[in-house]
Amino acid sequence: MTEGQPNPHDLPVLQKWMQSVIMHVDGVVEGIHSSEAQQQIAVDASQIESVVTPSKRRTSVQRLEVYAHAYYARLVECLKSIYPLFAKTVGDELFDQFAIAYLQRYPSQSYTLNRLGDRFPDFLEETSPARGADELGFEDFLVGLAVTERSIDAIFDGPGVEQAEVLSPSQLEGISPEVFAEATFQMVPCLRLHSFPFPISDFITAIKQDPQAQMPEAAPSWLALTRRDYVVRRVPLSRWEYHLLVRLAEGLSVSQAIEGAFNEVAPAEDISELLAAAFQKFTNEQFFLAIHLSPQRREG
Amino acid sequence: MPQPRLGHENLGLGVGLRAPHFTYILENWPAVDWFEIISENYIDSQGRPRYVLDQIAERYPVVMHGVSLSIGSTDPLAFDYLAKLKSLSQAIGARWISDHVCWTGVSGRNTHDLLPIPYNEQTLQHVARRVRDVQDFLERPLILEDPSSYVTFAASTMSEWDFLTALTKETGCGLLLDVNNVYVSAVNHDFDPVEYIENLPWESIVQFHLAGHTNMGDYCIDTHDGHVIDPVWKLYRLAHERTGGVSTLLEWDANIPDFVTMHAEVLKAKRFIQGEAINVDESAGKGHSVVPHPAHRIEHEVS
Repeated sequence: MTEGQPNPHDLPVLQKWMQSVIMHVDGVVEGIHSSEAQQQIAVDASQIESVVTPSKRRTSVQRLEVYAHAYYARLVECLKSIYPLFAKTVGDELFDQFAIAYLQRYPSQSYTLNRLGDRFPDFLEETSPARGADELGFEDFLVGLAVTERSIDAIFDGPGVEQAEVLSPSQLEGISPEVFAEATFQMVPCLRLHSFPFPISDFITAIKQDPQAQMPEAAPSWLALTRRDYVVRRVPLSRWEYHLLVRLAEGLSVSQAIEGAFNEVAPAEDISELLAAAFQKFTNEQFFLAIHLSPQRREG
Repeated sequence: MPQPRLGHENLGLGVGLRAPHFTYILENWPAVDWFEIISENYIDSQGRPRYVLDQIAERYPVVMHGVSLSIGSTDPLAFDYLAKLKSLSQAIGARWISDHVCWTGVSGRNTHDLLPIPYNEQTLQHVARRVRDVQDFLERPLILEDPSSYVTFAASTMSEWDFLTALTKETGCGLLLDVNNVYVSAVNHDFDPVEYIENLPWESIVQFHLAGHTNMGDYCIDTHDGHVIDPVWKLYRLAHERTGGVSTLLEWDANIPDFVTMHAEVLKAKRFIQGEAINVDESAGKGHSVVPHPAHRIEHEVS
């Protein structure tokens, strides 16, 4: 050890050293020799007994390896439980590579494992070899799948409406068209809306039935995720329904949302029938917590 | 001299609440004495885990057992986390709050492992100061568990049992004696597990943990993935005799069996205390997990 080095027996020094050793992706010996560890305790693997003692049957390095092995094994398994369909799609070997690279870039900073995978979809986008490419490829499909699974995980344990009363279809009856046009909706807190360049929800259905399901051809899809009775539900949307819901979720009035959605998609069907069917679907699926009617219009 | 079990009731024989058993418990309300939860799985939950916990807390005594307090870390205490522990404990009437004598990370990171500390005077004063701060915040004694561990530090100057004894004297905290951890660490660190138990402050022991582990040949891993083995039951009997009996809980976190099997495992404790033999040998490594616990997370459900 060099003069001026931190005292290897000091608790902060020892903890920073051990953490950098067991989190090193190339193993304990590489970890001991890493600059991060050497900044704390400048020993090489042959001197390690001055920090970690051997047991009768295990060397100091072997003993540290239990923690080093467990670090990645445990957290990779945890990520797999957050992204089970993604893992099934890419296979264990590729998933482990993704997961280990992700954990190196974004090590956990939370007290809960539930936050461990929060940045995984961002990581996939950041590190995608096809980033910025014009053509859609496997990477774009995987990002969509990861985004969906992250949403599912967040919805599962996030706020819901199981103990609340949601807006029922009958509560929309008897509202005049003029008043309805000015109405705004409060969405249930468990609703998430997604737009993908691949049919992600169809693929989820397929891979649940057949683990060998192949990646689908690119085709745009729109999906609502919500929760009822504590189970996360997938509700496929049409493009028009998606754009309408996005605007309602932003707090726009029904007329503003319809106008915005029509700017995105020109309806081919009868508008009034389309609207009636859409709001029937949204209320049946319990997307709305409440409707807010303009007092003036309601009185008028 | 503290009251036995720090004045806490002996709750009997309980099991760890695990998600695969949610439906069975809600449908059958089994005759379990009490449940222990992994605190981190519930302190933020606004979904099914919390719903199930609320139902259970109405019917059974519940104890909160954490894995992220990191009482031995040199990072600052996380008071937002402690506030969540306190809030949940009040909401469900938790009988006590426990965690481990360990650290889980430093420099803002969490390894989600229960990492060992060197046992010496410097660490003792550091941990004791933090235990007192936590107890002041939670307004109740903290119950701390002996960790299973795989390394010893050259900086250690005292045994684990002396450290735990000193910590209880310094802070008034209670102990959660994990009998399986004593066995695992005894194998890994070449000490006598009987000497360990004989030298603990028995009045401060509030709870026991029992669990299975994996024998790797030249060391053991605390995997919580199987039956409790005979030598651990023998240590349990010794600890039971010395304490006069305290709340006992079985942990099973990998290869989790059906609820009835898991409950039956802890009920063996009653028979064993009454003198019945239990012969469960170690099967080295076979079919066992090789990753130490914890990897506690409740998996989502999607239609």
